[in-house]
Amino acid sequence: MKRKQTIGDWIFNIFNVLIMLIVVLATLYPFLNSLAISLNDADDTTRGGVTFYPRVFTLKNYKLIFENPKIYTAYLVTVSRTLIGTLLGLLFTSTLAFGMAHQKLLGRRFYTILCLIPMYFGGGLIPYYFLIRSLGLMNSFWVYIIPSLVGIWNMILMRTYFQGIPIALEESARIDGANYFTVFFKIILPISKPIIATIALFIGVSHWNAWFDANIFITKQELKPMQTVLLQIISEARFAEQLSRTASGLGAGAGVDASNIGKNIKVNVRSITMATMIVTVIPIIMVYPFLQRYFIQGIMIGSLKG
Amino acid sequence: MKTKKLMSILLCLLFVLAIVAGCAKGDGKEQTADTQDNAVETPSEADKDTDSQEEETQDEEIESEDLEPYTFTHYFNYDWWDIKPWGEDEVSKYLSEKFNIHVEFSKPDADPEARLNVMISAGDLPDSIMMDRGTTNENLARLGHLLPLEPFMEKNPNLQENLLEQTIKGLQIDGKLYGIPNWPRKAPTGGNDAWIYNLRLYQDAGSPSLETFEDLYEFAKKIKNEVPTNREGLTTIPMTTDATSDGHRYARAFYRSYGGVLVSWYTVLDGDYVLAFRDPVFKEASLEINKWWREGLIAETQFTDTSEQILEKIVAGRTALLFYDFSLDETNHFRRLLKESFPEDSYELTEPHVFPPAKGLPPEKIYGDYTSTLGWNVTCITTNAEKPERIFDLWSYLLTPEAAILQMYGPQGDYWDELDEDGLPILKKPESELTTEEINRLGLWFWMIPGHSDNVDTVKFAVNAKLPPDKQNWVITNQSERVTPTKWLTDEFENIGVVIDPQSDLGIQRKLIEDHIVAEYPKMIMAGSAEEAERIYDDILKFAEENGIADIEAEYTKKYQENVKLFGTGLTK
Repeated sequence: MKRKQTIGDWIFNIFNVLIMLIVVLATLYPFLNSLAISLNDADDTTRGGVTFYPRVFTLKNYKLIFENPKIYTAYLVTVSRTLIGTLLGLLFTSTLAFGMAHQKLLGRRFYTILCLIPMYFGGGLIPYYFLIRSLGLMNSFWVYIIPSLVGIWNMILMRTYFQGIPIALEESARIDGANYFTVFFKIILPISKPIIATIALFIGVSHWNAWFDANIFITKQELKPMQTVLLQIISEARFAEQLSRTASGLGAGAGVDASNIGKNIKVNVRSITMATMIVTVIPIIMVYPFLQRYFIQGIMIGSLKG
Repeated sequence: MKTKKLMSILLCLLFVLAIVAGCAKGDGKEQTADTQDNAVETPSEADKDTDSQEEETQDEEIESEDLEPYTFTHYFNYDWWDIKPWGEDEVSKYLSEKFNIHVEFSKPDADPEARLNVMISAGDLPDSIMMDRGTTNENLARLGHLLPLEPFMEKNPNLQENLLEQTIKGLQIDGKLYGIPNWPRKAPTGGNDAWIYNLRLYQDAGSPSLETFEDLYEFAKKIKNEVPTNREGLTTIPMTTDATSDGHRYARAFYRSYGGVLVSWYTVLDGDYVLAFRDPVFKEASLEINKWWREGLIAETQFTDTSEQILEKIVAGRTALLFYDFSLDETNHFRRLLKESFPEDSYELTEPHVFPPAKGLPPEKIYGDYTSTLGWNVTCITTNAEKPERIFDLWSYLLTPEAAILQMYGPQGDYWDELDEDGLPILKKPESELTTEEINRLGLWFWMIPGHSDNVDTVKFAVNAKLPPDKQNWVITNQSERVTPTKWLTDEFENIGVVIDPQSDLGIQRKLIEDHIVAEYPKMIMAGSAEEAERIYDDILKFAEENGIADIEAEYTKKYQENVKLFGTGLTK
């Protein structure tokens, strides 16, 4: 039965919509502003006052990014690491989670503790470096994939989800002669789409955004991921500014002259930074709406049954 | 209960295991060190494999003649460094032919300190490394990771010929030279900060004289009272400087006109290196800044604005008086952009003095920017380098006058064909007409490699002076004609900060005091009355004294006086 709307409801609705609009605008504005600056002429940006739309439209900032030959191999590296890393990560994490979800698993507590310890204690960077080096992963593409095959946090989320699936499903399949792999791939996985989509998004985004492993373990330019190369492009644009600042310090002129080093820097740092940001963010934004449905559902289910 | 017991047993087991594993590592330290060394060699061997047969033949002939092709790795210890590939532009092509060398550059993507630490502990250092002078560099040298350069200097005199003796002395660590300086100098040239005025606002204020510091004040007041908006109707700002959240730029600009020399927050008083706040003249200059603030001559957003926000105001022609790095016009184009919008407008350096004197001081008593002969950072050769002398030959060559021409105008036969009677290249067109593509093709940048400040400046100034006046570069002309004469060369302020270890008690006290200054000094500037400003000023000094500034000054003075003995002093005005 529908209640008749009172004046109070009307007022509430109006304010509600207004406040929500303001919130949406406040959230959206920085993004729109970045987009506008990235599409605005760099020299004109220096004059300030660019808000919602570009004043002097140009694609030069993007041209500068995509003219850089490094960017294509870097995109390839990032896309491959995201695809391979997500697929393999899902496979390994979910298999482990499936096992851990079994109450009857022998030594389950021991495994749990084993998993929990690295969540709270890390070995530190230098031991990690030695480990990676002795595994022969330095300057190898697999350094992006192998160390992050299993995410404990993701595993716990998945385990909680699997535990919510009625045990009878698995038991009946077992009676019909299915082995654990069949149960896992044919029965459990197909009905766990929400959690898989969620975890896939987690892993995918972290692979997409990752740069630290490349910083420490990769010195070959051709293996650097996109994030690193985009950072390099920004550094190039910031270079003269940084150099003159670092080198001259607190005015104690060390003799480095901005005019000597920055003469072919043609693009405003802000423009290039904004263009870079847009390039980084767009692919993820495009994937998000397709996964969001699962994403919200998955987290809710996990939290309710956890 | 049972499970709890089981768990505790398991945990105990785990701890025992961990301890055993930990001890095993400790015992096997030497072993790991050995494997480290092996591991260090393996990558280079692996590299050789990939580098095809050339390298193999090189190994065989290593003993005979050392002009074989040689590839080494060079690392920039800066995450913002812009790496250009070696051998793709004309300059590095020329260099790689001349030295038969190939350089593989790399740098950290982020967090250089962590990356370097990892590299040091893993023994994965590159063959040569460019980094800041100071603690980390000294530690590297003392740990034996860097090669002393003296043996190479005996065979190749590039360093001795292009550096002053005091520069080499000043760069030594425990009596040995480990780094080739980047941008060292033998003479003070160039120029950055100067007093600049906006031409249209200056005309609107009736073109007053800007000869003395008091004139600057009168001009700023006139702008405040009589020219509240510029010709476009935007509000004017009587005085601004680049981003300075701590007010240091104001301190430096004002104190200078009062005859002082500010080094960080310190100065020299009767031969002692002390906190500038002890100098009554510094107090007078500081209180003057407060006066300007109280009278609304300084922009209200000065201490919160970023460089970009300030640039926006400058480019809009709203700022009447600036203490600004005019050479930035080459990078952020503040003057060029202004002239594009308003062709009749301009920014010009104050006449006749770049740093107008206050209180009737004679202009020759004013100190311009001092500059050190040591330059900025250093390039060091590590013990990992297979043929360190080849690396030395390349990097040290870049300090020569010949290399200055090469780095600025490219190799002979492209942008220039011959030298004139003064040894300057005869350019085919002015530099300002070079396109970005041409600059990139030729490789006309300095940042890859060490450069020599006055070798570069001398050539740059002379080449610029030969151009017709309308083709001359505003920055270079002002640098050579106006600011270079005010600069002075000294090493007396070098290596003073490093005498105190930041981790020691004194280092912690210093941090406390300097943090306090940085927080309080802007408050002093923004104080509502002269009395309040003076009170805050005195409190800063009091705070410093209570926290042991005297001990810090004693350490600093000791080092400073040693420096003066070694290098002499430029404080003779």
